[in-house]
Amino acid sequence: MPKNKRSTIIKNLFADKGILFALILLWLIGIIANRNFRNPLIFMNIAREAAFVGFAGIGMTFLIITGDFDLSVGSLLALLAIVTVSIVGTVGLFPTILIVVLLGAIAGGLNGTLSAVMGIPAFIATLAMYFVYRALAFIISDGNPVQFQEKWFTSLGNGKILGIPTPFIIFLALAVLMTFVLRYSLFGRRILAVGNSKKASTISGIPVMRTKFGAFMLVGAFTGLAAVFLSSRLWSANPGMKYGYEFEVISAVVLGGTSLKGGKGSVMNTFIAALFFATLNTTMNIFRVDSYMQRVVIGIVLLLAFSMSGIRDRIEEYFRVRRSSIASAKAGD
Amino acid sequence: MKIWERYGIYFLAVGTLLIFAILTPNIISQQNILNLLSQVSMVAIAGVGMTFAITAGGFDLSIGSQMALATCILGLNIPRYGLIPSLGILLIAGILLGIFNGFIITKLKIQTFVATLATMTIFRGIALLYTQGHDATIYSHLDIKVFSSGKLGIIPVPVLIMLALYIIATIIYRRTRFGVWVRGIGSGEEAAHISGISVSKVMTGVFVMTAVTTMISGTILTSQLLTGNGRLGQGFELEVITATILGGTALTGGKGSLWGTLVAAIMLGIIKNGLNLLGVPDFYQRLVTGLILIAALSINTLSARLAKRRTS
Repeated sequence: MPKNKRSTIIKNLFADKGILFALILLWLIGIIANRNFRNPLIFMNIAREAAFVGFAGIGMTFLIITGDFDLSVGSLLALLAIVTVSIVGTVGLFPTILIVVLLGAIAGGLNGTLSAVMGIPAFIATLAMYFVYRALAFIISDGNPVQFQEKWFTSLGNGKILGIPTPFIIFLALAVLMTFVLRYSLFGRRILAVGNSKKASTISGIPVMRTKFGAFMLVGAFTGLAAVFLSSRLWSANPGMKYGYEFEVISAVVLGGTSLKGGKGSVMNTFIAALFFATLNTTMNIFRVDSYMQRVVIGIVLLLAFSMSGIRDRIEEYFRVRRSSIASAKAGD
Repeated sequence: MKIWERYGIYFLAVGTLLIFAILTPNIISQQNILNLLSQVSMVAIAGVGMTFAITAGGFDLSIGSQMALATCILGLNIPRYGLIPSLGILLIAGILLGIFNGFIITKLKIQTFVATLATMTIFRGIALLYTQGHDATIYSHLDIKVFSSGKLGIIPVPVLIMLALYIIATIIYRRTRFGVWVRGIGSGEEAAHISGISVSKVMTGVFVMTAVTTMISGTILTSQLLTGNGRLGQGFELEVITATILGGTALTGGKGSLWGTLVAAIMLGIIKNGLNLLGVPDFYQRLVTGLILIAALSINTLSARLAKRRTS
């Protein structure tokens, strides 16, 4: 691999590093200020918790880059978690993962059909499915929590490989994989192009509809994966679980610098933002911040982060205008 | 096809009512209709503010948390200061919440969706902190009951409040400069700005409206439950947005339909109430809501596409 190519890969991995610095800063503060934080087990826990929001976050990053988002992931997560718990005993581990991820992709495809194919705005289409999937979760479980008896299944969400939590390993591997998919595959390039300009993409022959459809399927599939790991982690599932999960996922993606306007985003930054959220929660627990106060803090952190990108855009805009005016002044000489 | 877009929700609502009237005739008893309208009033009243917000091209996702905060404010203050001063406090709180949202959106230049996503978390946290997550009960202060079970003649007070608000809001929307500005900003913020509209002031005004109407909804909820709790009202924002969009307010901004919002809220109420009367479990109501939303919007987009094909 030529050297400059490798350096662009590394650059792409860590493009837009604000969230990475924020994460490191938070870790440093924790380590300096509190003894409990110096225990590596804390970091293992953070890594594990980050994965559950992160899985869906990977898919959501692709979708938000195309300029849409999916409000139905929380409901879909509950539905698929119930499916997972119901079937894992009879069909075994790998078929369960396969079936649930496939069901997730189909559900995502349904969202995609409504939004990308039929042209209903994604906000409303996925809002409708938010009601539908949640209702289905209640209907198939009759409104009751479900549990599985197979103890071996808990090791997927709770287990470790070489001392590192299993969900985190899978999360990291998928984040790296999907970074490459986004940057170097045809599908990924199309995602970025569609997000940049739908019109230009259509003119240059990119199948906009199919690309968006694919992004919706990806969100569904990754939500399925989150459902498998989360139900394994919790030993159970219930139809009312994870209200507001969609907002957690979207927050993490946007916190990672992916713009809701589309066209710009990075899977690695979503990965880091998921870690950041988990760290923030853990830090506040260690410092015994009141659990209600924690919500206020999270909201304020989100506001700060969101206004940062606005401020940064304005600074960039300012310099661009200045540069071009300098250039035109020079040309005038 | 334009007719469907504008009045489709009225057909849908009448159709739904007819179906349920056949399945369970009890639904059209006078008692049940008044009851249904009172139940609907909370979504409908907050829908006034939301209609303005979406018309201006924005969203307010924080109203569910705002409603929780409203119940907590009333729950804690009524025992101390009595009903009227507490309502005054609530009004001031509502205005402040709206200004806070407006400030973030207009001064920090954050999109309304993510801005109110963040304040949703913040307001929920404040509501929970305020009562420490406990119930703030006001079982011995029954004067607030007037907002849920009070009646003028045969018409329940919440229904009266709802109708009065819709009439006032319609006048604001159609006959005042504020209404014109809101529509102008929704049609194109840039153009509105150039033509001299103070976008930030109008947007802040819109978010004050959503907050204040939500405070009124919160008052009705508190009056029903006689309890304040920071966990109330989760998902309320999505119910209200659903009613507003079903009612024909365009998500792209610029075109709102207040009475459409009201009718859509009533229709969602009919479904809930009808399924209840039929003894169908509560969660099927969500399924029907979702399916109707899909059906209504599929018809909208397909008819728009057909119309386009015909003209080209």
